[in-house]
Amino acid sequence: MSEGKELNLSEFDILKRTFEAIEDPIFYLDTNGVILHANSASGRLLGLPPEKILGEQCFRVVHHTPTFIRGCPFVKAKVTGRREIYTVNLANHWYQVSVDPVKDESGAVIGAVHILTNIDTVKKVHELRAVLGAIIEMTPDAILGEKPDGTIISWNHGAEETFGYSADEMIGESVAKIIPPGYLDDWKGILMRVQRGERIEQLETRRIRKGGEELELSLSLSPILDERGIVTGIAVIGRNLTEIRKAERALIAYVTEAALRIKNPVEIIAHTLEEIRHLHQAGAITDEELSTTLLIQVKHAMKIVENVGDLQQSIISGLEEIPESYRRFLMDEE
Amino acid sequence: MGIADSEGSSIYLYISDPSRMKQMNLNIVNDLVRKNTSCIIVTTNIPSSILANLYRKEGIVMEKIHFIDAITKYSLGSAPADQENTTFTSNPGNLTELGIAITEALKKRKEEDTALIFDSISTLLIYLSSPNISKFIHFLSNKIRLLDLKGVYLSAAKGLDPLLLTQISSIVDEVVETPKE
Repeated sequence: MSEGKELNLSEFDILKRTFEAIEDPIFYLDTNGVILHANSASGRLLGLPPEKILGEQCFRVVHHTPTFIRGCPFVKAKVTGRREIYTVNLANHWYQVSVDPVKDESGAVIGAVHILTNIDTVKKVHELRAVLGAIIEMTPDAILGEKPDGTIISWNHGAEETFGYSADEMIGESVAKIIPPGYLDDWKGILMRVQRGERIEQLETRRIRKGGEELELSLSLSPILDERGIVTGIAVIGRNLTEIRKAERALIAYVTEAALRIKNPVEIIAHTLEEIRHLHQAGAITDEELSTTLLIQVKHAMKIVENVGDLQQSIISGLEEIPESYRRFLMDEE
Repeated sequence: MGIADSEGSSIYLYISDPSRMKQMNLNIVNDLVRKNTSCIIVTTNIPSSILANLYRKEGIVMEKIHFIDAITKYSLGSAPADQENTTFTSNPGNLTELGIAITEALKKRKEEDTALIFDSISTLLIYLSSPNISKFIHFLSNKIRLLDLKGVYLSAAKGLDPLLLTQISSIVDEVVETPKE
């Protein structure tokens, strides 16, 4: 800039221009709350030209109330003589209002500067964080945050329930603490893949609880990337499948047992009866032999009924989820 | 080639459709006896008296046959007193008694080829669990090998769970599946 074109601005002018240029609304009030100065941003906030604001009491144009609102920081600042801060929602936007008292030479408060900073983004981030935090804490799934080397940095309530370790016990520890020795090599391989930026979804594997019990889990691992795309952490979601897998195995065992103890023996009885009928019709066996064979098949059938009862009892006693009415029905209780 | 044509000690598992079980028993016993092999038949489904009648009708030499009948006494409450060459046990689920009866029958055998025929594993499953049957089959198979005998286990198709079938298949020399008619 050439000297010849320089404006000869006073310090006051510079400050006034700065005051106007600031995008945050700024008010200066006297002790009665009358607005003595307001920048252009204040007018935009209130939807009024600045000249319509000046001379008005702040509560009338800002809050549309006949007097100071309850908990007004300006009223507080007049008493404390210190900066007071609060948040307020104006015209569907959130602002942090800082009220700085202005004092005379004797230290008496003669007015205050109000600066309103739009905190919509911060508020939204906080709200989102609160919602996500609540979801993470409420979910029964184990959700872990890890450094790229597997050191645990966060451990939710679901992880505490799943693995039996508290967050205090696990944060700062290596996740290897909950990996069975036979699965450590697999884990190292997976860690390398995630460190390279790969997502791993629904990997079925095993982990160990604090008490030493082995768990069957489905794990999903996602790399956490910074703005440069560098992996700075790993998000792990684990779903405990132990009970589901146990129930599936019980179901397979039940279906197999049911086939062996019901379908196949009944088939044998049916064919034996059919053969015996033919033999009797052909005169190959006597009435007495027919009667004996029928009795044997009755005994077989009775034993099958007994076996089915035993099978039902063993299934029912192993599954607490069966409703009481069905439990009584299956246990032949009244 | 069936068990009757096998050389020396051998054990076969025959798997048949339930409707063909009786006929399979008759065919195997007939073939073995024709080859001058004595048969000890353990029956858990068809009474030995009926089997004996069927064998006679097939022309099988009954001197070559000994029955261990695990079902007649259990069903009727008592066993016929006049039935020759037959040992009756009280309950098909009592493997100790069955094992003793088989051991005794094997002791009485003459110096000739003998086959132990178990009819059937699938019927025994009505009375016993797969693990217990597996142990019993191991016990019988050891005995058969030790005494240089032939052994035949009969089972209905799909009458054994996959694990038991694998276990028995690993013990026997041959698994013969007869096709459904």
